Amino acid sequence: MSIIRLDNVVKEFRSPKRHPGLTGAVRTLFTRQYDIKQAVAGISFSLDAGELVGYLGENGAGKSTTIKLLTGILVPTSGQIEVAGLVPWKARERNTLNIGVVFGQRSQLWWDLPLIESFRLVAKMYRVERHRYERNLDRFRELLGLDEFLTVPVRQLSLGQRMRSDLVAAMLYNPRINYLDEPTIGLDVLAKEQVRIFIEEMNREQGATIVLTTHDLGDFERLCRRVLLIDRGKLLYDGSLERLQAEYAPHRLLVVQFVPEAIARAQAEVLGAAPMIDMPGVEIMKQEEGKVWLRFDPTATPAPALIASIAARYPISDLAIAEPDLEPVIRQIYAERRVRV
Amino acid sequence: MSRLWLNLAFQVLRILLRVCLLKVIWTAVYAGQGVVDGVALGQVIAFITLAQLQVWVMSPLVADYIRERVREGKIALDLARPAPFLGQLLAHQLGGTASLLPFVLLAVPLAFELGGLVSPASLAAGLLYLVSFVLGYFVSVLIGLVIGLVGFWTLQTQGVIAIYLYVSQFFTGALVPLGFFPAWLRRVADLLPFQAQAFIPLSLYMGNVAPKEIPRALGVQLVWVVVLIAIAWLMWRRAIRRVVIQGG
Repeated sequence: MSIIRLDNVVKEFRSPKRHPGLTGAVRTLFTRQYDIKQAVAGISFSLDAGELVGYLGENGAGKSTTIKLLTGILVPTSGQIEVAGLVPWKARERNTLNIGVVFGQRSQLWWDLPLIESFRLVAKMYRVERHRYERNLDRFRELLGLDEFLTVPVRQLSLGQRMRSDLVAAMLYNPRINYLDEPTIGLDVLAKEQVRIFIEEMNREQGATIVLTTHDLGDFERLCRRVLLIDRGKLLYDGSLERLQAEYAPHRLLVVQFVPEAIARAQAEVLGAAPMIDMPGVEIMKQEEGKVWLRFDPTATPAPALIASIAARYPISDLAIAEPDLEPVIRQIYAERRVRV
Repeated sequence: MSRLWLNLAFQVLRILLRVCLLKVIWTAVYAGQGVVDGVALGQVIAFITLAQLQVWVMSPLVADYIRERVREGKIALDLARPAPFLGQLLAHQLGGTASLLPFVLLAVPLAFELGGLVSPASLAAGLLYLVSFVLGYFVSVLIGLVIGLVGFWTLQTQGVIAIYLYVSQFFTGALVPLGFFPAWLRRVADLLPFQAQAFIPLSLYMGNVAPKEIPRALGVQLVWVVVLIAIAWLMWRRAIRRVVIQGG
């Protein structure tokens, strides 16, 4: 059962055409020409209740615009949007009861008040009854370690504390859907991990549907089974992270460490393009001090076969298989700017 | 919190300072004559003192608030709330005014002492003043709202706010009582909403309105409230349709 549905959604922004220079500035004042920019250029997808989806794209690709369309803050130029049975911009206020929003760059908390007051206000606004409020807050305190700063004015919080607090404010009333726009931006490793665990728990425990945008690919690898890749307002890819990787970066990396006695022989043969690498889709990336990095295509040469063939000839002391980083994959997709679904 | 209180304390100081200066100037203008144009010096000073206090209490905080929310893109968060935006604005305004109250209580006795504030002309005048004050308050807030909403188109309303504050003070008679205006300027003042904002309640307080004129005075205020609500509502309907959130 889909809870979010977008059907060919377009959002155009119109801005007055600016002419360069001083005379241009005067001309700008008196002419009525507009530049039209399509921030979202015909996007369709639907999400099922309980999904945790990564929404991925470069700066200005249209991610935040999509989220603002979904919250009902922006009115689409054309196309249909439905969120939990409502058209967000038509029933904006009713829609807000179903959704929680975190804009990582802006806080929804009250700057001068102690943090706990913001939570109380949010609970009042969303009519969370006392019992549920206390239960939720207890759970969040435990998950995010809020106790040390609950009574501190928001403006004195560190970025990590503020982000955790914003997440709490967005989830305090158990919304069915959460839009998290860059919730890990600027956070250190520890804070990032806390935020990820929290998002994971909310999705698992409360069955919240979560749409996550981030520039941190680690967030996706850790949290999302499904990613939507958007570029210049268009959807480039919709599917699992594994498939994305398989299609764009099918290679794996095998790191082999030879036992000391075998190093000299192995290296000589490797350097001399010996039969060791005479298998389809295998190439040497680099080697040093008895260690060799091999790139291979598991569809052409399965990992067990490759390992067996090497181990048969040289004594191996250690080995590891690594998946390629997601980042070069994404870079490659942007470079190609086309869909290969 | 303390920054807020300090800020308010300075507002009180500023008003008292202005009241004192205006008192000195008007005393000098009268040059020893008790009555000019049928208006007594004490009346002028009392009027101006009360006008300054009133302008302060009636400050339309919404205008600046909208500007800030739109410019910083926080409007996106406001619109994702289950409360209507205009309601949020009203809450902000009333809350801001309420936070002034302790300082008003502090400022009023000082205004009696330093400025020459007098008690209302009569008990009835005092009660009428309260009614008229509330109407004037909403005229002021609604004008501020309309100015603030302009920010949805221009993103910048500081200049308009500055002009408004100056023009409204002038046409309210908070600097020079309207009685001293040349006839044509007085007619302009009568057509503007600023007299409904402050001049009418002030005149009622001073007992300057003839009894049979009272319904008309309150009526003018009420009409302005209705007209401004209509304007603000129409503007808001259009603003929300063309919201462009800054940044992100």
